Amino acid sequence: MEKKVIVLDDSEIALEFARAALEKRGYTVITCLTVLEFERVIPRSNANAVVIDINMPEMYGDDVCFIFKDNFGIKDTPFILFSDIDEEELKEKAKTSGADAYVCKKWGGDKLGQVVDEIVKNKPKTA
Amino acid sequence: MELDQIKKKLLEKFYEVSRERLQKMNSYILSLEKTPEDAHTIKELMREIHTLKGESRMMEFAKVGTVAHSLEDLLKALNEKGFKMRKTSVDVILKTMDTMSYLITNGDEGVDIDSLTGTLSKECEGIKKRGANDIEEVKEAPSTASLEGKPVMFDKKDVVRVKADKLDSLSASLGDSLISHGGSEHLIEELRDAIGLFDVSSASAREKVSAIWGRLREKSLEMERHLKILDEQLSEIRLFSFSIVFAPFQRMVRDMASEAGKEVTIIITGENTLADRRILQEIQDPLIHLIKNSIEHGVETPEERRKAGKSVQGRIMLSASQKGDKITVEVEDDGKGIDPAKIREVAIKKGIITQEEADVLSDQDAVRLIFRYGFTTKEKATEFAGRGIGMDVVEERMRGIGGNVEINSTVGKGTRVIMSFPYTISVISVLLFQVGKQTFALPTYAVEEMRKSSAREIQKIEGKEVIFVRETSVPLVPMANVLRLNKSGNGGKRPVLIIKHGEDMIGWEVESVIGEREVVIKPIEDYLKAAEMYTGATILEDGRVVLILHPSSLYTAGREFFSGKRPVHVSESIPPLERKRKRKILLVEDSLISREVERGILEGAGYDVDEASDGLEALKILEKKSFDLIVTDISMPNLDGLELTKRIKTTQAWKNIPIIVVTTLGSEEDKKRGMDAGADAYILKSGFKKDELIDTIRRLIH
Repeated sequence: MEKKVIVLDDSEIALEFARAALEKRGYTVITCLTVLEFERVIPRSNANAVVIDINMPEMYGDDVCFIFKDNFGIKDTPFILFSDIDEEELKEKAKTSGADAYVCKKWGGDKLGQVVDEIVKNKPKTA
Repeated sequence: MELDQIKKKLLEKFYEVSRERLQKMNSYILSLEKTPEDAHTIKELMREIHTLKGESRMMEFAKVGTVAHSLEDLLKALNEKGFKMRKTSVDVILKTMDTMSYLITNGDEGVDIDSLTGTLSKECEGIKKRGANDIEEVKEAPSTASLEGKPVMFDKKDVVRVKADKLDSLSASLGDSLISHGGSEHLIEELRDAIGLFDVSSASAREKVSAIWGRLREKSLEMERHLKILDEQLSEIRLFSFSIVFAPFQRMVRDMASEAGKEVTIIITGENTLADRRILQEIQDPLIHLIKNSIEHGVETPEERRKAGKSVQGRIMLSASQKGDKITVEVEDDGKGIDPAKIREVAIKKGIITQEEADVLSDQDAVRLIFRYGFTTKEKATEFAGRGIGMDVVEERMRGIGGNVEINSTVGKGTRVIMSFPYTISVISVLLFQVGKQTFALPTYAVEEMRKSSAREIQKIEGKEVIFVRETSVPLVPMANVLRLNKSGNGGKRPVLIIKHGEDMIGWEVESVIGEREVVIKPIEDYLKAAEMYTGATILEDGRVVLILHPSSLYTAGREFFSGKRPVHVSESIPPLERKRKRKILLVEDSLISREVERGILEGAGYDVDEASDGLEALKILEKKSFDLIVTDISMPNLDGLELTKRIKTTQAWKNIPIIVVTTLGSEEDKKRGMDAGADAYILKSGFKKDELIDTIRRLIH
């Protein structure tokens, strides 16, 4: 059964890096460059995990997490915040927004892959 | 995919997005310098630098990442203080972004960034110590580290540009396909006529061929539809907004003004107007030049402005707008304007016009003299002088894209330069018409009106013909006279094309109007453009080459003709020999366009012209026909012009035929080789003038 991850980031460069890291681990990756695109993709996606950047033009990633988790019937889909703001700040944002995990961008794509692996394993999809 | 591969794949993308980010940051900083309280811009600026930092690190542009990090710290510190920046801060930030741009474009190997990050952190500390409203200047300005002062606009590594080149060749191929398709349409029509030739006895064969003809025609129409769609889509892809070209001016104006000791702001409008990418590239240098001129020669110093009762800060308006298939770009300043008296003085001193000519020149025409070659005074050596071009080049560039440039200036009030051109250059709509038995084209955007005038509608004012267009008298000029072609007589109503130039109009009398066509422009070589007033050529469905006239050169020629300055057409001064027998000339030239232009010139002067596309073909034609003179190019496939000359001059039957060699090769060595081969005259393409060719021919055979 294929495992699907959606990545939302306003940087195409960052998106491609995340895609490469996750595809290497066998995930099907859907990338979104805007929140609008994300909004269109998420309801029918059956994603196993969602990776979101923080600093985006339309909306901050933690707000996206907070709003979408509650309103799109995806309460159980794990959200991972993926940003290069300070670790302390990122940790705090993950807590207040209800994200399931966070990864600092400077830790690299492999670390992101490990975290996604762990989270997908521990949280088998119920939907 | 491994990480290295991903990076390689993303490199071009990175160049593109980082350049965009830096450009945006540049304008954000400049706008915050004016309005520091703009929270939205601050947020966007912070996000851009943050993302750029992240992307640089991912792409392993370590030094860019480090510089970006220091810059982000500095911006954060500024944000704490309400973003009120001292000029020194702005300078440091701008120079830092230049350095980042340099590092990204040229690589960071061996570049020392320590002094820059040092400067940044020193500035950052300074800001942190300040109170929120304390923005007074410190005495000691921090040193700024800069590697490259010029903002990057179109860069060699720019991925879009490489693709644009491919787009160009794609457009050209599509243009050729359209022409080939037109050719097959033509043949299909011929086939239909040929079917009529079937004998009555072969009715079944006729029926069969007719059926195939019908299917062929259907397929051809289908193909035409597809080609048209392809053409539309391709034109769309080639469209970009003017913002690419306009954006860097915010920054450039700031730098140029401070260098010139002036205060200038630039107001940009219409940057979302779209145009073909090549047009945007072509207009970049003229714009830099015009804006630089406005700052250096137009806008006065703050002191002068105060005395003149103007606001201390000068203003430059840069705008783009589209109307129909025509785009207008304007550069307007509120400076001191151009003094026609001074222009006259300089033009006389430089030998561009004589005192007598200057005396009768209107003020507006005098101002236009700055577009003449050799008028622009030597550029002052400033940082931007490297990009400097003369005003004559501005006009030349506009001509290259089928447009023109106008200038209005009022002493004391300011100067306004208006450039107009079609928004896409690959395919344009032209009006075809005949003059002197030749077909010509004019871009339809230039044609204001088309009418047939009877003798009654044409009036004479001071002995010169005019017609009335909406109560304005418009000079009437027979185009044949200006193009120096023989006018073929036609009585009754004369077709007149009203061509607008700025506010002025000229009525052009032609022989007949063929109609409007969408055509692909083919460039013609520069030497022919200099000799004639053509902006390009196009090939019609039947393979005929038609020259496209340049509206503004045509206007100038028409004005000169009307005021009696232009000599009457050349064929009147040719000795009446042609009446006995038309002289025959063999024209050998491998470029189709050059050949057609030269043929036009020769036929226009009353010669009979046969053509060959290389030396071998020329020899074959010579076997069958006799000629009075041969005009040949040098570099050609199969058999070049020198070898051809040698063979002709060593053949008993041909050795007395005069040969004129026309070529781009310009060294004495080449000339000697040409003469050694036995050529009778040698004309350089670079110095090519129509009259020179005709004069040489007449010298040799009349």
